[in-house]
Amino acid sequence: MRKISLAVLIALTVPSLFVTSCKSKKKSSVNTTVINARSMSDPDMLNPINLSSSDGRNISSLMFQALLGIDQDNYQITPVLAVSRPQISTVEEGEFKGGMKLDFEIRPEAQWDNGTPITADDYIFTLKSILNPLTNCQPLKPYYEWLGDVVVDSANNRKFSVIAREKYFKIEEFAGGYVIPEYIYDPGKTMRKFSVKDMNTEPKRQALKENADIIAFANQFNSEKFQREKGGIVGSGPYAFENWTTGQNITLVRKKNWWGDKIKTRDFLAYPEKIVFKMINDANTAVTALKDGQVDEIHGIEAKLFEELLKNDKVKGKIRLESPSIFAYSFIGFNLKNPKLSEKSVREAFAHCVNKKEINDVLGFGRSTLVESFVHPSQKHYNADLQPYNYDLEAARKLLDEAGWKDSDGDGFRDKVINGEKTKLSLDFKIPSGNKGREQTGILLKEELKKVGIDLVITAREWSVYLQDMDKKNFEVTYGGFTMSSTMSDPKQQWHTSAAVTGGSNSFSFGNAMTDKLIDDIRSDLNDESRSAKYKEFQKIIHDEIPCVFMFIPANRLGINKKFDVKLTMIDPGYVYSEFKAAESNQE
Amino acid sequence: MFSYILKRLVFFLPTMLIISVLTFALSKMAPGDPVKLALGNRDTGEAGGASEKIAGEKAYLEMAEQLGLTLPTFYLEFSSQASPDTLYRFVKKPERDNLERLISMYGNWPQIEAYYNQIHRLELALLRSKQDSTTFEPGRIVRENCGKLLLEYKDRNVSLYVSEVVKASSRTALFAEVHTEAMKLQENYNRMKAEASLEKNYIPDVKWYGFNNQYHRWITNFLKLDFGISYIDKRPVWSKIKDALPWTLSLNIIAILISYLIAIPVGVYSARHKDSVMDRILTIKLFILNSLPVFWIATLLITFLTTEEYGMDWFPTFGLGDVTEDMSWMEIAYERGIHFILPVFCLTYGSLAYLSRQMRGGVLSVLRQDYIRTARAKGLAEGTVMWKHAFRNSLIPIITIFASLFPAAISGAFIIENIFSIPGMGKVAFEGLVARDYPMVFTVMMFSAFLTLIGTLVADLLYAVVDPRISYK
Repeated sequence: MRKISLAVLIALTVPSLFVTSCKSKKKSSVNTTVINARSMSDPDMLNPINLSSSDGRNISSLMFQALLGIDQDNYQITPVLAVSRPQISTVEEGEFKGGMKLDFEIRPEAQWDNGTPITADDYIFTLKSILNPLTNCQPLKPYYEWLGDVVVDSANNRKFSVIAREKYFKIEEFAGGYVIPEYIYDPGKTMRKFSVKDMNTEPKRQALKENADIIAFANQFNSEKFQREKGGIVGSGPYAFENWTTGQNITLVRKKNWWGDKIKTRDFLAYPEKIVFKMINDANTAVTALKDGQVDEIHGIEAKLFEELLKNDKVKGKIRLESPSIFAYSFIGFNLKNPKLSEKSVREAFAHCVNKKEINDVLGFGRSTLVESFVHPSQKHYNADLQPYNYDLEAARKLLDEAGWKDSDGDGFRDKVINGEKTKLSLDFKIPSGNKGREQTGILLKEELKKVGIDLVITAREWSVYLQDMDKKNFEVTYGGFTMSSTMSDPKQQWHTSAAVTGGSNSFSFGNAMTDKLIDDIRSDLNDESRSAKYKEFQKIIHDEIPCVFMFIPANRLGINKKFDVKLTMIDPGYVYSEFKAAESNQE
Repeated sequence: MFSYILKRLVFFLPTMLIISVLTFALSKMAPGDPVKLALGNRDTGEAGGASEKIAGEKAYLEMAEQLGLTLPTFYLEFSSQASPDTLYRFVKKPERDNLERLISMYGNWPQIEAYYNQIHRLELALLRSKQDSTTFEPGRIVRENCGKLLLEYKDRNVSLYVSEVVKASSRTALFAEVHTEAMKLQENYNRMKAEASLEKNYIPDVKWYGFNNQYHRWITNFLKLDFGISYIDKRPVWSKIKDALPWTLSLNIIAILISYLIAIPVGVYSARHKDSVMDRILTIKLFILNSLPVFWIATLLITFLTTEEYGMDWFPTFGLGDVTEDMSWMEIAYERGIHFILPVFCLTYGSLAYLSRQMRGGVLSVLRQDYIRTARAKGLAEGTVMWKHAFRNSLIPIITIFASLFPAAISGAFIIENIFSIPGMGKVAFEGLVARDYPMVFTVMMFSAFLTLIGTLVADLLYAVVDPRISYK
């Protein structure tokens, strides 16, 4: 008996005794043809049409190609599968008069894995898989409302014209999307029974929901085989899908004799022989795995962990740490319908109380970029003339004094009679609960605003309740964030008054006839130069009206194993996986 | 015995059905819109043009239809005569809630419906109308107020919004059609108020929706073992569970086994040597372990024991290891085993204190019994008294705890799975809950309920095995 209990005791007190000799990790010599990338979690799927997670997009883009892509150097549209950017002209007559026509040509050397060329048939088939009312890509479908028809050149089936019902500068990007092989996804060619035009015209579209062929195709297209299994994820890109073990890893292998090897532009670079995405949820675990060499990169490292890594001498020689911007911005937004905030002077005074530099230094360790607009300062259409609202409490006090906000009852906060009612200058700061950064920003702001006599009350709400409140414009001040397009964002969804309705994204209720017209002009202007000029003008108006205080462009904190060399980009995840190559120091 | 088991099994079915109805009802009351979340919470209105309002709405409706949320909820509904049997057709919950409030205020559905449809007609008239410089402000007022009206029931606000719409639409000649519709809206609203039939709210009414309803569709598929499609990644729920369950099961079974193997002897030892130095040391140690938060210990273990940074690179950091086809079973066992050690340790150490205390208490209470004194008086060896006479009877509390482990074995441990990146049930279920992925949540709930029932049955049978005084004859 005594023996048993002693053994138990030992087992409890020194569990590590059992295992000290257990581990003999096989550490191979420096291997730079395989990269182990970290993924936060499983992507939803890998079919580029149906997926909606950003992880899925990043992985899928290694296997599929689009007609057009984004140049990682200058963030301009660049041809990938297409020979060049499309020729764009106005439709002069017929059903789609006033719309636009985009003439594309697919590269003659472009081919699928079975050696057949990529043609307009594949492109049209891809569009139909989006337009099919039953395929699982509902979020994508509204982006193709403009699509009128596709006309194939009778002499050359790699040439075709996409006809749009309206003029809109984003259509080039939407039309230049992914192309998937018809021979894999629709070997029976059932979708050829339908035309693009019919599929995107009501009420014919409604009727399709009952059509047996449409149903059968959608069921097959949505099945697991074509979303996540080998043989169902096939594109023209440099990598082939090898294996997906749920929650553990996804493996891609480089194709031998890939057609794109002949093309020498940056979009066709593909160094690693194998890319393995390892799912690691926990931020701490991921950093430990990076230190240990079990993964070669992580992006989006938590701010505090990143600073710790920078201070850690042991990792210096092993891990490259970088913090480039990403295409997103944060803002403190005002509800312009609120009587306290409908006065510009209050908003301007608020803006003068925001010490952006301090907030960035304290909460972001100084790594975010301070902005005055919703455009990244490195972009061509950024209005560089915008003067920041400096942190200046005196100016804030003066503005409030002039607007008649006085502390009449001596409680330390200003008040004023609005519509016959004495109103205290107390503002509700609504944020989603659990978001530490926003909460701490609120606390810092509260202190500053108190100094000029504005009371800020921080209210945190559960995410779905917060969303509902935003939908109903049930807030006074909020701290929000948006991603922006790496090319040019459509200003309509955030700034047009048509988006100021219940459920719309213009939660500020910003806008008037003039700004709406300017937005519409920007949208229909197909000339890059003149559109940029209008875009700058629009930014100036926003800046002057202060519907929100633009805060930061966040930094993407990256850690990369130094055995690799890779160019950074501002597009998520911060680099292109296929561009990882052996660092020169390895080869010595 | 056999007939007892049979009787218990027969009761399973109604119990499960009641649980399913409750689960389903709760899900319908929970805040959050599964359609919006399934659409990726992305604004669907970017595409543009005059069609934008319809585009967003269309995507929403198609998604709702695909998720089966456009059907009536249940076979029947207990309500009042005032509420119509078509209310379920309003798919958006905030709008439906608002209509319910209007019904309880006025009780005249035909008039309410006319008023409500008129709001939409007004919106469409606005979209159709010609625009110029004079229409902007009025157009904006009409649009915003229409949005608010869909979610407003208080008379003071509704009257205000309606009159604003009427006033604004009269400001420009181009809005002739809009103005007519706005006037109709005012008319409809006034009629709704004037012709209120509140008494209908007090006449109870049962509405029968037949078998084509959300619950029926779900439960019949469920009984056919078709658990539906996950809203998150559109994968069949069963396929997701099939991937996750083996890991959770093996982790939990190993952890449960180890904790019982350690805790039972420790408990018995402590009881036998009650208040000895060893008993005290064990108690203190176990309670210290019990009070260490698992997420903290797990992170510490990963940081210190899995990299060379602190010179103790003994374990892999995360995951389950790579198993290739050319590995022998020894190699596979080693690869999995080494990855299991830290998570199993984290799952085990916390429960030791509780289990061994229960065991100690059970043994102590049995040791006080007369028959133990008799056994000792007969001159039996202490070991025989302990293991043959005391031990079996003191297992009752342990068995009770054991029953509760059945559902726990599949429900997984979210924190451990998350920190060690183990794709188990905890992660799948948690993600499902956050994303309002009801097919997944229902399935996990039903499985847990089923295993709880099985667990209590097994516990009842085990009581009879360990204690001869209990029988089910």
